Amino acid sequence: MSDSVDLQALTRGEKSAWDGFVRRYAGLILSAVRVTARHGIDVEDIVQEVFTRLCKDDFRLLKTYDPARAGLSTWLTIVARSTARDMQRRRQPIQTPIDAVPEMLLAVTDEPREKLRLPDGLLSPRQKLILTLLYEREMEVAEIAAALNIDPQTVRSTHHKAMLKLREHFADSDAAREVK
Amino acid sequence: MSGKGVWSTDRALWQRWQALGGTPPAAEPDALSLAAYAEGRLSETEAEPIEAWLAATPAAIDDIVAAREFEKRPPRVAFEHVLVAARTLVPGTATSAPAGATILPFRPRTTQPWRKALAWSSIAASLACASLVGFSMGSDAYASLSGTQAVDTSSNEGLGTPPSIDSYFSDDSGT
Repeated sequence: MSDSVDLQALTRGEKSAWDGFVRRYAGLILSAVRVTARHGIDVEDIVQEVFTRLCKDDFRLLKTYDPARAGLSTWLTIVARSTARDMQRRRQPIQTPIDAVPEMLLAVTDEPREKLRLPDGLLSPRQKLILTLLYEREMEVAEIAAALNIDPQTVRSTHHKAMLKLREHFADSDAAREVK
Repeated sequence: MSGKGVWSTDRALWQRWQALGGTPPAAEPDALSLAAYAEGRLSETEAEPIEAWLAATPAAIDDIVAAREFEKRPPRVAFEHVLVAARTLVPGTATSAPAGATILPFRPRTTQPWRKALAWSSIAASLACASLVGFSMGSDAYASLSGTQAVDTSSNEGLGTPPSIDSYFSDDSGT
């Protein structure tokens, strides 16, 4: 879709530009927040909140949009979903499902907790992301590749390299503990 | 390799790493950087802080996927009342907006009164039917039980008075 919107007219507060913008992007925003809307929050309330955010304080948020950096549809989707998550966060107390807590943290044991300092940069952000998506979100390699817009083979090799690093790191730290 | 069937030792190693705080919270990037990332416009260096945040907030990966999908196929269906509400945010005389979206007619949020009445009537009718059926079954059972007792009594009457023990030893038999 071409994002041909008169941004200048929009951020000047011209009613016709705003009406056109609303008509053009309401469907996108509605779809973007629909999947995130749970816990009794009305989708239409979230849509209204998104539009409110875009225009409040003299269009402050809308003025941060730079067409040279990203498409308007992409940016609006991110803004909409971020708004939906914020609304959910405000409505519900912070809870962590017990399944999401690693077993090591739940175990009742007299053994002292592992007191290791993780070396900075042992894993790259991408390696951490791929391992998180694999083991915490239980995503398939193909899904991860699609989400990150990379080749599935890159996902596999990144996983492999990350695991080599982790094995090496923990082997060293375990050996050091045994010596002590 | 699959997310579900992946080696358990690798998973255990990852959990051990996580338990030590391997993925610390990262600063949330601005929406424009995330959008640029979704469109693949960032260099590896620029993408690093985004990926660090995504690793700490894995649910946000769905935002990236959705943004990419909507860029290709933008949804254009909205409800009229949603548009009306959003338009009022900017004051001014309403204009005839340009085409480019499918607008569905007003969808009321509240349930219409006749629907409520219909629902309550259905419940009442169901209860009435259940009561009638229950009453009828109870009546039949009572009637059949009463009938059985009556038959039993009459059969007893038909047998007459049980003979006394003396009758067995009387000489009426002629023997």
